[in-house]
Amino acid sequence: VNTLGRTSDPAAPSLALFAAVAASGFVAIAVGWHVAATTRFVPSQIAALVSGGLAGVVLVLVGSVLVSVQAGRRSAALERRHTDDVLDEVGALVDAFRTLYNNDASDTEGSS
Amino acid sequence: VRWGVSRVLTAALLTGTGAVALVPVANASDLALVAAPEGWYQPNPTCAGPLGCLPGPTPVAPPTPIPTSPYPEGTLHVGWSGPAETARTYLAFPLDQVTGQLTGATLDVPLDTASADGDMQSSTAKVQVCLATGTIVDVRGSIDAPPTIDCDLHADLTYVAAPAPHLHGDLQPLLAAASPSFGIVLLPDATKNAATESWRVVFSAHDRTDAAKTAPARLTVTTSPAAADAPPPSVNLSPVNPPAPRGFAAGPSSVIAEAPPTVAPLPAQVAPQTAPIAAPLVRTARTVRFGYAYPVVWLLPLALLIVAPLATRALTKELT
Repeated sequence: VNTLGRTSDPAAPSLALFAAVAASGFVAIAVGWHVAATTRFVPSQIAALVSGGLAGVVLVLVGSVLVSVQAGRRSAALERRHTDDVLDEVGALVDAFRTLYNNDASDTEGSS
Repeated sequence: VRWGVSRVLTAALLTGTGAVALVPVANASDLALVAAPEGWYQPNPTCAGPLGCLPGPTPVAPPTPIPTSPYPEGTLHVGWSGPAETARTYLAFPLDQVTGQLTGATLDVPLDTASADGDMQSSTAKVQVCLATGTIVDVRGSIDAPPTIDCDLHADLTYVAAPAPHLHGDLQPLLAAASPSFGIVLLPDATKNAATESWRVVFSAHDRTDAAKTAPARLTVTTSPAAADAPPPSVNLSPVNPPAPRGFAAGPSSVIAEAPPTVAPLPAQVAPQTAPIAAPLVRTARTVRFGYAYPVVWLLPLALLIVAPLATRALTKELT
């Protein structure tokens, strides 16, 4: 049974994947900056900035959005799980009261 | 008597002036030659298109000549923008007017380091000198097929910063194939320039007239006076013609010939002489690599194919 917040978190692999996408964007930006900084030839610099800079920014944005969306889904699932737990506790409490009430009623009838 | 003295003085002055004009640049065994004609070429931009190099001139000549070089008139260029050559320069030196036995030759190319004239990181330039086997003509930034060359014999030029920035090289390896009209080409060494490097060296043609003119390229030849009466040199050019490098249009078949480069003889400056020298042939095998600077980029579509389904599944899977 998967339990949110523990080691078997079902959202953990996807969160790691999306974080890796965002991290690869930062790497692309760094590589683009490095290539553009090692030459003064403007056409090469433009190619490096487009391939590294713009693509890196896009990867960072996409990765961040995916991480945010998945974190929201994980939070909603956790909330649902907690609600279910509370409802289960309430149900168990009602059953306990009902059993206790039935036992008291049968004892009263027996004594009378 | 006064008229006689005046005539003698005038004759002496004229004789002295003429003698000064005929004195070689260096000493008796070192002669400095200036190149003429000179021409520089750049890759044909149509060669990068999907149809390849478009041949020949335009069907209809433009009413006014279209300049193909944005650089100042009278400048010569050698350039590299990794991983391809962007400019090369051909120089022809009139060795047929040099007498005596050639024992050495050095090339000095004073550089115009003004970035407005096109200079870009000239201190990092790695330029080599090869033999030009085609006809050298006076062109500036031409996109036509350049003259054929032979790089089996080549020499390297090195950048020297002081006293003034210039390229210097010993052309001894090329003298084995020196012809009466000694044509050479200055071009980037594709084996030594990295794919990420970019540079451009600029120097002045002998006929440059603007204020930024630097001294033209100078070939200093050393001759041995012992063979001053030797017969004129025989042409010893190799008929090997390597294929034109990428970006340059292929030349017409008639240009690929064993004929030595034709040059216009220089006015004065040199005395008659020369015999061919027997320098050892230096032939080296070289590998020129072309391709993408970052071929790993071809893995990106594969990565996208893997990541996209994983992301879709992760975003639609129940997390409870």
